[in-house]
Amino acid sequence: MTYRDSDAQTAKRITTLSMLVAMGSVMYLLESLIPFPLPVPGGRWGFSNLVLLLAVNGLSLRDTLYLAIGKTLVGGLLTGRLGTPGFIMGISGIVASALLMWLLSRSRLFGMAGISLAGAAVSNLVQLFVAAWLIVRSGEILFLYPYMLLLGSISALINAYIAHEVIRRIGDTIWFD
Amino acid sequence: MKFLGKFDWLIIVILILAAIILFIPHGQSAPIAEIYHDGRLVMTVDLRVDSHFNLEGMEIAVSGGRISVVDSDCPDRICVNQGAIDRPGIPIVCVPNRVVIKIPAGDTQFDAITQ
Repeated sequence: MTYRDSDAQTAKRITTLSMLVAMGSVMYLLESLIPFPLPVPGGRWGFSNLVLLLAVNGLSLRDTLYLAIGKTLVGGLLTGRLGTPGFIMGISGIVASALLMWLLSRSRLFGMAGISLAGAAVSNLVQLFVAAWLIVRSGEILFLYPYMLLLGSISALINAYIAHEVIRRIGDTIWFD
Repeated sequence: MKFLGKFDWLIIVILILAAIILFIPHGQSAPIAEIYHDGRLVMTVDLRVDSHFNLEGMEIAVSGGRISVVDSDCPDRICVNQGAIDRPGIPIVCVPNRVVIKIPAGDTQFDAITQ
């Protein structure tokens, strides 16, 4: 069997994605132990989105979405929340936010802080809209948005700072070279 | 990639504006609570009268002008842990039971009270 370049690339891609999904899932599990002070089902700080920030600059859109969905599915399995309303809200939010963060990152106009803050804001917004339209069928839950925006921005800035420091040291092309 | 780019301020300003607009107070509270199930108003409760009742698997209590969910059959029991509310703002939302308990803000409420 001959060894081709594309085989090595595929192997690297799968390894990279698996590693990021594993990291994200563990962070998802650990952050669910930190109390979240708002009455939102499945409410979480969003620290596991750090892996998305690390990866978004080097991954294709497809792999970014794989990573977002992968870490939420595995994290959902580990926390036993798979399929609950809070989980459905969370996964909708994370897919929307991964899409937005990828676009903002490709635009090359924004820094880590802006990408992270925008991602958190959109994730929370989509979460609450999914709850309002599909689950509770009442707009009242949207009253929580300003509070979530505040808390989400705190963790988004912490994530952005860590991601920035990590990427400053290891470079943002490490995933695909 | 920079930590804070030039355009990041745009995002920060938008978020701060959104937060300020959304935090603007909702007005005077009326002493009633509205209970919604599946988005429909199923019950209006007078908060001046203490009461205790069951609804959609939830045990709801009104005491001293405050309303709370005392017990619920939902898995997370977020609604129970939230405690009592007595003013507009954060409503009690039980997502598994599709129940929302809110205290409506000013204006529109006079009709409900004088009924």
